[in-house]
Amino acid sequence: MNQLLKQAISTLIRMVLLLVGVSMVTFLLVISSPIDPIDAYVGAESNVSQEQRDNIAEYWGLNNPPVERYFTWLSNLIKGDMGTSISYQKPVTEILGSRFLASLTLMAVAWLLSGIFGFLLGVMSGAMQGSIFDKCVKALCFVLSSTPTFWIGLLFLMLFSVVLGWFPIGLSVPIGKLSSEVTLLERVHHLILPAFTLSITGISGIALHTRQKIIDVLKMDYVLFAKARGESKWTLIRRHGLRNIAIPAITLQFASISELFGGSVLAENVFSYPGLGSAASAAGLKGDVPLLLGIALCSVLFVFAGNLIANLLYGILNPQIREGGKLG
Amino acid sequence: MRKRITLLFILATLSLSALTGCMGNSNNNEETVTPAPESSSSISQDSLVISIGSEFADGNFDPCTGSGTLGYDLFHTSLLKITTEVKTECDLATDYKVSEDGLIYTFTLRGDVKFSDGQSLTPEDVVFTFNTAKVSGSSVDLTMLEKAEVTQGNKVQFTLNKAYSPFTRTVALLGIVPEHAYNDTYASNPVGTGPFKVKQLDVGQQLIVEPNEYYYGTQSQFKQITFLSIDEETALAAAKSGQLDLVMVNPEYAKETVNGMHIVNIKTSDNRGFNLPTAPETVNSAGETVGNNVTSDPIVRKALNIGISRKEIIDNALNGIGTASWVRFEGLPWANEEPGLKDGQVEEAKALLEEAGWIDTDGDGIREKNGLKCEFRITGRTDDLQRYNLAVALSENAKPLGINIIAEALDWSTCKQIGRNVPTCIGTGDYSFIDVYNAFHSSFAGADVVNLSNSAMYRNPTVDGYLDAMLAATSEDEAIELCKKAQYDGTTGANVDFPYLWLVNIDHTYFVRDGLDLGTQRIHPHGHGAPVIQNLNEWTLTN
Repeated sequence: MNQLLKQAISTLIRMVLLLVGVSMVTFLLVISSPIDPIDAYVGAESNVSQEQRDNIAEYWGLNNPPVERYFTWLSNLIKGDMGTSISYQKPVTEILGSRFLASLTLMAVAWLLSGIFGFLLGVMSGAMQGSIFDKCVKALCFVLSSTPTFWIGLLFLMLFSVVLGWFPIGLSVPIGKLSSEVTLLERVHHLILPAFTLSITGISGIALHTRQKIIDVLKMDYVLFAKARGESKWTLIRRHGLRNIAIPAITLQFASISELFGGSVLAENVFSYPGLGSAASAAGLKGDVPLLLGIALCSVLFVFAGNLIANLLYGILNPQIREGGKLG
Repeated sequence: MRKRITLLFILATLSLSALTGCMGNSNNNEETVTPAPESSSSISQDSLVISIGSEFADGNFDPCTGSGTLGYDLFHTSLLKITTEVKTECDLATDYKVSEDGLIYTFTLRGDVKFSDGQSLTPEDVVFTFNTAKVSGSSVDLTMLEKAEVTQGNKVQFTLNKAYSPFTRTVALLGIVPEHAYNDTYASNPVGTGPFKVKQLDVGQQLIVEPNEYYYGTQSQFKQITFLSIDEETALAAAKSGQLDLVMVNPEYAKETVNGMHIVNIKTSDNRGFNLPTAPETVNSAGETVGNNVTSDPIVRKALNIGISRKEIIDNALNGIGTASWVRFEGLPWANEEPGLKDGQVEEAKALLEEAGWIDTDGDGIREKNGLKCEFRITGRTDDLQRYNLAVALSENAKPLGINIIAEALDWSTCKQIGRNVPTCIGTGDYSFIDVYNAFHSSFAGADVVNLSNSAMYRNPTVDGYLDAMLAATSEDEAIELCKKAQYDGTTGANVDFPYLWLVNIDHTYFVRDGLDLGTQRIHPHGHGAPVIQNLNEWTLTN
């Protein structure tokens, strides 16, 4: 029990350090980026007088030294105030709150899709190494992993929404419909294309790794022995293969959460999906420090949680690691 | 052992059910939802779906923090309004007076105006609006306003801290908010006196508006209008999907065709050109180089202005879409086209340069004078490809003149920072004639000034005189007349001194559903294509 507590505390400390570190780096990057927040706010070439520009800078505290600005932000954060977004003119917590759920749904679905499809494709093509199917999967994975998400998104949009008309052209709800009338089915319908787009890049990574792993496993002595006992290929994979490739697949799947977050920025923009990703790009383009910091913290927590779950799952799935933990 | 197998089993089942669940849904939807897109706008004539950029779905409709300053507020109206000829006329006010010294503006309010919640407009609301906007730290520039107060029941009096004739424009571009309904959530839930009110806002996705039944002007024919927030790159795809009635697109797409829609190009006062620093190179107090030894020669500036071909530049940089223009205020009432200019006069430009001593002595195609090469850098901001394209096209176009212009792409902050030494591609053009003052007045010409106002460092005492008189004018007609004189008064002015090299006014391009009439559009200001909705309540759809 004591051990568990210790571990929990050390995890917590690491998380806090990570949050502080990331917020500092993000802050530094934003303030040294060549974006003038006043320009972004009033429009680059508006006829707003220099006097009013000074007023704006003072109002938003843009003239204070960076260190002071950072610590003001930090001390407000500790009090639970994440500041006000310059570009949306709303409290950051409000923006994050309204967008987090949308992003979470999108990413969760995409994450599941990429995990399942990737794993299945990987196992199958690994088992049938050298076959036409394997070659096709491999080629597809190489193409997909080298394709940018937004391009896939545009392609899907053209094909499925414009040409075939199966899916809506964007948004998370039907055009012009009051929210009280929007059904769950409609929400799901709007989620499919962005989620599928987002899962695409994840699929190739998981599939290629799983494929390689299963090929390795199939070369093992115990597999040879099992073959000798007369086990068929698929029984063999089920009994010896899946279990051995589960751990790397799970690690990879949880590690891909960070990539997922990156991908969501692009996918959400293409599909006008109102999540954190589209807010992040807006904040970045407008030099909106409080909002960008808020989103950065959110994503850190997200990725950190992903890695933590992967660590915990190791222990559950693999007794060797669990034992190791006890010894240490 | 067993535990692990159970867990794996659970994981597998979960994932499988999720998979089939999703697949099932997609199949269902193919059948049930497909017909919807076709019907959404073509069958029901009482609603419109349009896409004109993402700003509407951000939910910031508070005039006090800068919404509507470009003159297309859907929810609010102002004391004055800007007409299709870009003049001002009374809107919420019935008349107004300006004191002799230009310091006191007194507006009389209409008595019959109600906000969209049914409450009457009061002079206190007007005062509240101006006082709130003044301290909001936003793009509403009220630095000239000393105080606003209610006098004699239905009159509002503004006292300025300096004579400022464009104040009428400031007033016309600030929507009036109700004091009784103004709170923290006002920005996404405005209660105004304008033609529309918010029906629903899905932040980041869409804004749905409906007519405000209390509006005192023309009521919209449509029961509902939806503004979609669509990425610019996907706007054309959206147009092709047939679900929209109006889509703003990049002008490059003007040659595409979409079934059931036609292209509408609308002229704008959104110009593009380069500042040509009129002062020779010096170092300012911050240690930065300002001024430019080549462009400070008036002959070089004139030769460029008459020698290049604006049409060729537009063809090369903008696929031929845009209106060639050599004056800064093209299309606005205060533009002065005198004494006229014909460009593409390569030979005349060459002769001018030769006569001024700019001669190519070493045969490298670039002229020299006293050992100084006729050569300078120009920049185009990296986040706007159009501007870099213009810079490159200009550079090519100036080569035959023997002037070597080196085009570079730099980030906007740097472009601005070095702009008084290295000309950069700028764009202006809004509904306030303060732009004329900002363009040419010598108070911005100093070596230490670091904003875009008069980045050409232009100094002309006669022009300054007209501009000072313009600020002190007590009527718009008088002020606009003085704005024109500052450009050319028959002998001198910016139109013959050429502190800038203006090239083109950008067009705004839309795909519009056949049968949708956009009414009479006032020339669009600088900014994106959103100004098309300036008269949304007057749009009509006929089949």
